[in-house]
Amino acid sequence: MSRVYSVLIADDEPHIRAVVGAKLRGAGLVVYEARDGRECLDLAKLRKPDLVVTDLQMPNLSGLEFSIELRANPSTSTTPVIMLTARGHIVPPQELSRTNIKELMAKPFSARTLLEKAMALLESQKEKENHLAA
Amino acid sequence: MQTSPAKHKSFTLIESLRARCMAVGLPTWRISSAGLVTDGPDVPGLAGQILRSRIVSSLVLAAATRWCAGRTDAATQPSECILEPFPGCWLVPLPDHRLRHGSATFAMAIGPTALEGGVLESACAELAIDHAKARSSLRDLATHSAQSAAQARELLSMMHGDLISLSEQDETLTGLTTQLTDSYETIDALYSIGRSMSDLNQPERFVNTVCARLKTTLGFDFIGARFSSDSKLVLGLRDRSITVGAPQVPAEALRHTADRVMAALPAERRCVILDDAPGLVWERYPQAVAQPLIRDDKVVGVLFAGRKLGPDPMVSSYDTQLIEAAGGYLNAFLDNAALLVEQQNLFLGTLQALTASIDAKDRYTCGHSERVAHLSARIARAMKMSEDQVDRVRIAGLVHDVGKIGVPEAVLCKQGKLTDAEFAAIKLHPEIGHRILHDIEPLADVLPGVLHHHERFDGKGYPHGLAGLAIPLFARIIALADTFDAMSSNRSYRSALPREKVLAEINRCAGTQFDPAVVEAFRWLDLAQYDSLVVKHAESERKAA
Repeated sequence: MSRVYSVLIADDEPHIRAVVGAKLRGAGLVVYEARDGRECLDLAKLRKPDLVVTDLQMPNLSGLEFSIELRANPSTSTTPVIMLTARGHIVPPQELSRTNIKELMAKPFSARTLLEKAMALLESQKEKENHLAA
Repeated sequence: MQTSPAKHKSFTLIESLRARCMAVGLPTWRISSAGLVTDGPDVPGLAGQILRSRIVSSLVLAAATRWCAGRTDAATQPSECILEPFPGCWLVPLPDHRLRHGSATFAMAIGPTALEGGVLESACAELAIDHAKARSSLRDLATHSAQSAAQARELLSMMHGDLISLSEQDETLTGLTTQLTDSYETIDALYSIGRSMSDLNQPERFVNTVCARLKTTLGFDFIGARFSSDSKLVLGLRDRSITVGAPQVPAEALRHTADRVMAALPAERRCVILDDAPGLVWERYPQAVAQPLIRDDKVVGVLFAGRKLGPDPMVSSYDTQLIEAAGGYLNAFLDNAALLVEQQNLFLGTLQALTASIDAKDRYTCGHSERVAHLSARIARAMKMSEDQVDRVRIAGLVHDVGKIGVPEAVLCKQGKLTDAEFAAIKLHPEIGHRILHDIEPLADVLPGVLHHHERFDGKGYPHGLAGLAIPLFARIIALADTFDAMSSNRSYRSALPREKVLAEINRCAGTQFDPAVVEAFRWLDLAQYDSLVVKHAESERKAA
């Protein structure tokens, strides 16, 4: 039986949340939204989403700081992250290795490509779950 | 290009919240995230002084701070709270942020009980005012009870929620509108670059279009392209620098930097962000972009952008993605332009080899076709024909005698007078040439020049006896060039005539053999280049012999 997957979106620009949210909801996913890294971390701990789509530059806690904390937190340590950013080139690789950032997408992005990548990550999560259950 | 949505959001939101509360007799307090009163109640007169007094302020602040400290759980709903800093005064917290600690507005409801308590007495003492006057100034505001304050709380919470979502929607709409506008700009830039791509003969203009469109779309102070002297590039771009905008450094310094940047670039399709390149990077504009331009896996140029304008001087992926796309267009253009030149050269070279081998059948006509091609083109240019047409006239001149391949060598090279039959055989060469070239589609427009180059302006020529302007222009031009070259060269039946005699003869034949307009254009030509062609051909003839 397939369960409904949830995705948490973090971006301080509401129009990005609107575009990403609409695309993911349209694909039948449950979407939570956060306006900065701190709120995103609070929500991630509370809602335990299957995937996080985050911006890099946000107030309070950057997308990178958030991702590092997300992985360090035991209840969300395996949650995959897609980072959506206009400044992907400033993320140092050694920092990236401390996170579960699986994709780094440059803005302007294709919402269709984002959905494809999100679905692929959710699929692989499902396989891992099935593997554990078996 | 990317946008940070309206910074005034919280300001307008808070202002309208404040105005709405005041409209229903609820003064407001603003408390900052640091726990300070930033705005007291905006109430006029004595009532305002009392509400803003130290004693009232400190009680309000204490209650607000206690409330903020209690907001630890993310799930706490603000609508469940109402505070009572002192008897007969209630505060409804309206936090700016749904979940987090931070600044908040507090709407204040005052009841008649507040007018009787010790707080008002203390305020009167603090402000040194009469107690009765103070009470009467507050009477209009002090209309609430615990119950009406709770009702106000319900309404305010709902309205606050609505205001927040309205302001978020407004922000979303502004963001989407800006993004949409930017996207249209980008699409328009790509469309216009794509449209200009087909004009392969003007490479500099295309590069200029790309730079200009990138500049207006991305908002850099200048965008430029620098090309190496690599032979893989079309001649028009080799060693060229094209800049749009104001680089603020001398052209030579910029060229020097661009050359240095180009030398260090990898032959990749991705651009590089520079933070150390004098002339491209400045203290206030710490980043520039360099996009390699590539032919056959080799860097042959660089597209660069410097001094990003606007509030954020750092380069973003909005910039790099469009610059990389433009680089892709430029690379394709460089390939196409060079391939077109190669193709044209091959075509022209093949024609030259063909006509030269025909000329070689007769040692007296060696180089004749090349010289006629040269002269015809010069005349065409003097007659103000377009450069494209000049090129076509040159090709027509080059192939005008191709039909001689069908004339027996014995006749072509015969010394002495030709018989009528032999002359008739020679006169067939325009038609033979026409027939040979007839199926070569790219030569269709030069065929009339080949077929009619022996027509005379007075109608006494061959093969069709056309007269005047009925003779195609290409043919009228070639006829003169052909005769001039024939008279100026040695022939099997006579020696070359002196230049003055040739020119006099040509002038004499204006209007009979030649179109007077063509003669007029020809008269003013500088023949030095023609003469050096004659020398060149005589030398290669001597070497061959």
